[in-house]
Amino acid sequence: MSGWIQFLLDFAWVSAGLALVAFSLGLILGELKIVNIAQGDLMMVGAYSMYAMRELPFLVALAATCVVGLLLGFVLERGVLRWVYDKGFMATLLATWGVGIVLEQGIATVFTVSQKGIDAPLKGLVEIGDVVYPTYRVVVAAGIAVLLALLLLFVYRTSLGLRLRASIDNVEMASVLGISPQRTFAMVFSVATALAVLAGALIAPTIAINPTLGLSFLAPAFFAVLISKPGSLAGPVVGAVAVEFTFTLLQAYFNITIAESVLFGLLALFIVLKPQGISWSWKPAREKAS
Amino acid sequence: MARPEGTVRKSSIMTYLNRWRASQPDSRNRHSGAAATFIPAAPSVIGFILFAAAALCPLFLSEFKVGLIGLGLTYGLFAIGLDLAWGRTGIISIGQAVFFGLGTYGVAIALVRHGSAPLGAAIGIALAGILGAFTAAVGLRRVTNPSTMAVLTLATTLLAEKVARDWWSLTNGSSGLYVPPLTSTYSYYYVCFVATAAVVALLWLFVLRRPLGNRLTAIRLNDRRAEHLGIPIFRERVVAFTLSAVVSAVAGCLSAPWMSSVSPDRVGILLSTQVLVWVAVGGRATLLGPFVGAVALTYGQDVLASSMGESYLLLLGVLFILSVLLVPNGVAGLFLTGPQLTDTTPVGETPPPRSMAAAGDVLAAEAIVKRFAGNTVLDGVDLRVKPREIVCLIGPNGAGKTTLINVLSGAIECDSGSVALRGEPIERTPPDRRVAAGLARTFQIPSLFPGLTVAEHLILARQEAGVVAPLPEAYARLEREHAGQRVEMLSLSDRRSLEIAMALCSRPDVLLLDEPAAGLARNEAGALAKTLRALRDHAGCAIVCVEHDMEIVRDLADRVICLHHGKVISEGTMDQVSANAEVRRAYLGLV
Repeated sequence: MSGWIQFLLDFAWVSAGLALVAFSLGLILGELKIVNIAQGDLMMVGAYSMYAMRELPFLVALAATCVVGLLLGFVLERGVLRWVYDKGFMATLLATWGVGIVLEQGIATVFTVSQKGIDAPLKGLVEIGDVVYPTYRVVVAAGIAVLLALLLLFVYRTSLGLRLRASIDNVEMASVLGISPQRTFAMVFSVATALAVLAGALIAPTIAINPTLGLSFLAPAFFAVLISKPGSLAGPVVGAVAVEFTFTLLQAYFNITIAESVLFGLLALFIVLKPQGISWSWKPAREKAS
Repeated sequence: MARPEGTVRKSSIMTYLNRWRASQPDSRNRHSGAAATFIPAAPSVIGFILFAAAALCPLFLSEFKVGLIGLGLTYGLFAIGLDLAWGRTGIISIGQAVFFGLGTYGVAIALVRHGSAPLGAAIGIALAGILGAFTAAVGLRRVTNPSTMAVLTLATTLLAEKVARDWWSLTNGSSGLYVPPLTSTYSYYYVCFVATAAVVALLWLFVLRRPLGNRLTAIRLNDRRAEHLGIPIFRERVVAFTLSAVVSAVAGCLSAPWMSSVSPDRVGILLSTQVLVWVAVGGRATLLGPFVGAVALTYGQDVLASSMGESYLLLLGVLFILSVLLVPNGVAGLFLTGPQLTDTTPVGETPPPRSMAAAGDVLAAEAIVKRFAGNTVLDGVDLRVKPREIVCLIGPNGAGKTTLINVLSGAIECDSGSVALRGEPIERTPPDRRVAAGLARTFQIPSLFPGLTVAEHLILARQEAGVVAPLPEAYARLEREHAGQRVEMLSLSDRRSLEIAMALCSRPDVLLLDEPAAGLARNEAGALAKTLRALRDHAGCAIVCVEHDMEIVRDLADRVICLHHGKVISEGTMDQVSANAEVRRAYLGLV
């Protein structure tokens, strides 16, 4: 019994963080059609931002970090990405690749490569069943779940969300209907960046902070996006849960490297069987048909 | 499809240069000349100087620097490997170090255990080839999303680094394997130099200057068009990626003795990143670029890293972004603007036209159904085309005409129904094999290879056809007058004509045309019906043509078929169809 509770808590904690990152990644891929290799580095920036503001109250630092994320996203979109949209898929991918290198090395130059750490604001433990688990992780997992639920409600149930989905579906058609691609791109990338940065900030107290910390999240986040239908926004969230469920399960039986290898093998198999991904979206069918 | 291997003109550096010289005074004599006019002498001269410098540098430099340049050379070969996939074929690989590292580890493990280094190298190269073929086969299928390959290669390099770190018994984990030092830097430098030159020469002679090289360029520039020219894009992409993995692994093998220790970062993401930077900065799809990028940045790293430390990598990142933004073709691209294709026009007798079964339909589609997300676009369409018949498809917007052409040509698969070409079922056959079977098409918006000349387009089309079929006069004139012109400079009607000319090169039994008159000027459109009828008489093919201009349809069609809401609502002569009440309702919008 306690084994299962432990498993579910671990699974909830890791899948919450990944779901947020994957949602952000799916948003960028869906709207800007960019494979954002810098996603892990955006998380890393979030963690370092929290480290830099470790003297401030946690929630204040968190809010400030979100602002940092918004600004960073805006600067990157206006300063770099905007210039490569018309150069094709490969150029945009390489541009984010370059952005990733610069962020990583920039942080390494400012903060050095030695590992850092910050304290969690909630140091207590909660007892669930007969398992003792850090309160911080439980609260953050729940908080992310609420945030994602709100984001998905926003995307699927508001008119602004409808405009976003229209733009993802067909950016040219949407622009004819008065949805400016320039403005949408800048906004979406800023928000998506802020979400990735936020994910990094929330995870920061539980990990060793170093400039390459984002790398370990990059592959699973992409797996989550890849197994869902292109352009779907709920898909990556469900995908992240599916990936982490499989991964946590595999880790119960194998060491982490073998677990990752098996996960990768499963992904390859999945791509062979379902090259277009699965439609996880809970949009009602009639809305799609019309 | 019969590959034109036997008939292809042998290309070597000398004949290539001779042809260039011969073509200088009058480039318009032959299409082959036109493709070669853009070659300046510069690349061969620069290449020769750099080659000589690399050959002679041990005479002038210290042992340490020779070692650095030797390592740079192997990195250059590594970059050439990446360039085969990325620069030539347009396949993104952000985990190329895996293949390199397999070679390095193969040799290092053999050396450490006092085994046979060539055996270790062979195992490493074989594993890299298998892994490359596997990755490509999973990630490069027609239906796969373009981001799949990026994710797969990225995940491979991240995973490989972890495996190398964890597999203590084989790799000695993070501390790495200590490779015994070289007995002579100079002699090993020449081993590296000769091996690298040999691999590059082999690639040049047997891949890049061969039909395969042209195919890879075609796939990079426009994969959809390449496929509809008859190029098996999936197979050639897998070949290119496997080759790229093997070349990178060979480079990895050569590099092992230069390193004091072989650690997990040899297969890791940082090296994967660096090789991308070398190729991007040096110049894609050139032979010199990857070497220049790799040697200069390896050398620069050593010089600068001591003074700059970590910020050297920051500089590298900035350099990379700038090169993506400002010089997408890299340093070499600034100087080298040679032709992108080799003239592989088949020589020899033109074989007689296809033997055509006298009776029966050349193309028969039955009960074709195609749905897009619940929206039924084709709802049980039947279409029969007799040999040499011209059938025009008409119908209001959204009737499913282009979708029908896409289903016939194989660009999309139908959900149900059958398509048969000369009685052979082809509805599950990929587009390239349909071309080989005698079905060619054009697109509503002309689909050509950006940056290539008219002559180069026809080189590709003829290479794929394996023969040189004579073109009707209207199209032969286009070839004569615009051979050396890049397709961006052509008028819309010339671009459409070029697309038809390319389709004709495959000597099709059926030619599918999607709105050949759209966007043409009045006088051009007026001549079109006559040109197309002449084309039919000349090439002996049937034509299925989507057209909106009823005057053209009247002049052109032997038979008219009207589609509406995915169904055939009327069929017959133009007069019969235009008299049909249902057709009138469809066009006038009355329900």
